[in-house]
Amino acid sequence: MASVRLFVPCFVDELWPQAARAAVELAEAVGFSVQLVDAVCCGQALANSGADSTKVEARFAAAASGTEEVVVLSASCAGHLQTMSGGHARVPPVVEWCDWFVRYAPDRFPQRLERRVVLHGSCSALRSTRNVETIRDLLSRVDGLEVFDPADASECCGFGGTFSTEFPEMSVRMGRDKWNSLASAHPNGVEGVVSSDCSCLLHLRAIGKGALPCYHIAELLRSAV
Amino acid sequence: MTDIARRMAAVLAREDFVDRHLAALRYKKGHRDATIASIRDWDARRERARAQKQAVRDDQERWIAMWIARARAAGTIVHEAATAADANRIVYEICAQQGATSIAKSKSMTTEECGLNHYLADRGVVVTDTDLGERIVQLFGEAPSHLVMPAIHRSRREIGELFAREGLCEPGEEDPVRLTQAARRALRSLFLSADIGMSGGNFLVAETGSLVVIENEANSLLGTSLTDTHIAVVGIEKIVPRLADLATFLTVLAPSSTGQRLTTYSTHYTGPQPRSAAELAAGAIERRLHVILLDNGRRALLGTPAEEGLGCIRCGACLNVCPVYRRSGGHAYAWTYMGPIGAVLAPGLGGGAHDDMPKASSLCGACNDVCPVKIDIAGHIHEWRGVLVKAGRAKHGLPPLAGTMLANKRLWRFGIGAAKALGPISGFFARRNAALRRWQAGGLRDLPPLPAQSFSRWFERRRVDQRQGASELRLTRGSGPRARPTSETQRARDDLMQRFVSRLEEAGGNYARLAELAAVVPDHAVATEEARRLLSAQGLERRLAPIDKLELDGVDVLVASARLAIAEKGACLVDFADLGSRAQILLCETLVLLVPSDGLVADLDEVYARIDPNALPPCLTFVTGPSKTADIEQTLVFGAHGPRQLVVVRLD
Repeated sequence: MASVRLFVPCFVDELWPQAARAAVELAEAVGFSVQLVDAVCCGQALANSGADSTKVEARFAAAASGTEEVVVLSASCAGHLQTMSGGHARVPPVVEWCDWFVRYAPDRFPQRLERRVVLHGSCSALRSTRNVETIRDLLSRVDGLEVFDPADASECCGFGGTFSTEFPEMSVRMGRDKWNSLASAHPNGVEGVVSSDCSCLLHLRAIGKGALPCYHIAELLRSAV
Repeated sequence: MTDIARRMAAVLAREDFVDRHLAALRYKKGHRDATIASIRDWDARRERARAQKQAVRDDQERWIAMWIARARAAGTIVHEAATAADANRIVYEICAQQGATSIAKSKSMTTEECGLNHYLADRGVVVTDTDLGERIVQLFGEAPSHLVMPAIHRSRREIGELFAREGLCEPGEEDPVRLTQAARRALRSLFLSADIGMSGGNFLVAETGSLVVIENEANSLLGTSLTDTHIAVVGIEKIVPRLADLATFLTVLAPSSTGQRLTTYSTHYTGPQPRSAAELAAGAIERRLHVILLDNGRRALLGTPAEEGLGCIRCGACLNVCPVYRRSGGHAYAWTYMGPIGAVLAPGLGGGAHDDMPKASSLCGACNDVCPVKIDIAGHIHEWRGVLVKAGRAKHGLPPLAGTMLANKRLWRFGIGAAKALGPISGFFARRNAALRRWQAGGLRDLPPLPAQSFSRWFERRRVDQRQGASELRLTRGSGPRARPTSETQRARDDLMQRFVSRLEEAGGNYARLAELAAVVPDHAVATEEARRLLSAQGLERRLAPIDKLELDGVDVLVASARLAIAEKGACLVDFADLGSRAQILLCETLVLLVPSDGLVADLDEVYARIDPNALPPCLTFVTGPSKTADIEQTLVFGAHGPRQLVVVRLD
């Protein structure tokens, strides 16, 4: 059986494990055995804040070595790894999970999902991995699923790592504006928020306080199997 | 908490301000997107602009020396200022030499950077900012809050109250049109009496020694046309190699900035502006052009994360899309250059006082998407964070052991395990921990639940279960990624003239056929010599009175000639050659420009291809529609300082 090397970043592992479980089950469903990259973090959180990320990146590179490509379950981590510089870290080619799964995903998923969802294209998906169209492609293969875009779709949700705690008022205001545009993406309301970035989802869920369910795209696709 | 975070928090408490500011900038962004959608080679132009700026930086001293030599050859007096203090002193010395006490100054962020107004005021020289937005913030006693829309933080009501206090209008006036007219009336007498005209500079063309200034209101052209002395303070980074490069820079600048195709006036000054024979006969003295080339820390930016920021052409697009700037306004940054590009420049140019600016970003990258010279703004903000923390100039804001824990799976698991085990008292922890408290922001954000079982534990356990024969899902593989059908934009290949007319109208101008001339030109209209000649060559019997060569204020309709009409931009090229006084085409109420029949070109590239850089007239300007401003709540008002109406007539 073919195998795939998956990296589940620290915060997904602990705070949004349901996305990683779904990603693994979907990979297995299209015939892959899943091996994990045995590292906690890609270094993004440190590098974005200006902290020294070399040790963490070196650890990641060592854990990821000896494979053709690494599939990363987070657009922002994938973006960081794709642009990571520094002579120490030889990281195999990195592919964001949606870009990998779309190669093997069924043309139609077996289960219908009668649901109106709004797509939050994260900043990383829009500008770093640039694969929002891939996300749309995957979601379009689920019958019954209606996907809408919010107004000001390209605006950030306000998370930004330590930005969220160093500029809490600004981060909350950005989050609230984003939440309002997501929730009003359809005149009759939407029934869920979907994204390929769990970090945005963590922020949006904290802002929305459970008013709408938030899903990683893998969770939604898994429930269509 | 950093000072900048505190200042931003204070702004965010004023929700009505934030709502209005955010809406204004989203509206601006919409304009930009709409214009850019119709520019065929947008990305190629951006890339070319980036490469040209890079090429100048790679050989900076050579290009600076070339510009200085060519500018001097054209008669420009060039000064080099190492610091802001030097630049201010040079300006003052010029004033003192001439006994000048009043300056009409158009928009210039560089003189803001130098604090020139205050410096001169302390020495008895009054500087009046003549750009409407700049005038508003000057009267408020504030700094501009945006690179191109200085008063965007002020509402029409606040501006009306200010103007009433200043005696410019009746109390209670809030109409942007009437407020603009009030400012125009007040400033016109000032233009006519100022001793010196000052400007900034958008581009310095090394090949020709030219200074290029772009503006919408005509205040810059007026200030430099009505005085004997023009002083421009320009950063050394404004140099572009060749005249023809302007086709690229001008094409990317205005759409990024205001959503216009071309700013209303794009003026190329090559040497001092000559006096007409009539002016000399009336005793006018020859004009002088001083350009002060400012370093003020710019050379030292090479090799730092701010280097690429030197390529900035000050369009303000990054401000308009930045989710932080949109909500904070420019004053919260407390520095001349605000927003994303400000954060790139601040640690290099801010003298150590603005090292917290790179923190004021979620690194969303929206700025990179719109930058017309493709500066990796978010990337450089990211770079600065590392550089500043390493140098001890900033703190990274993460827990002290974060790096160690994240590099070591056992430590990480131990830490997380402890947090889960302490579940019952984690509420206590959350209240005490500063970062978690800030996350909750007084109850506005929930803490994330910490699921009992992490993904990796689930994965390990499941592997054991699977060996015992658990079965799972099956999906049929599909045919791979599908390309979404991209909508083919059907671009109508309309003929050039049609395009010119529609773009002219877009810029607020009007087009008239020769046959309609009588209808658009009233009997009391006056015309320049060249316009009269062109009309008589057409066999037109209309007898338009010649304009008094020294007439300035008070002309209603003036018919003058243009050299070229530029279809893609709806603009006309004017060289001032047929004017007794250059300001005449700016001071009339309605300007009618006659374009010769062979004067229609497709775009700026063709214009520059037709101009010999070695025989550049002292002044060329592209006129794109009537003078205009949108400095009061984005309301477009024609006739900011110059003509309220522009009519272009093409001769058969």
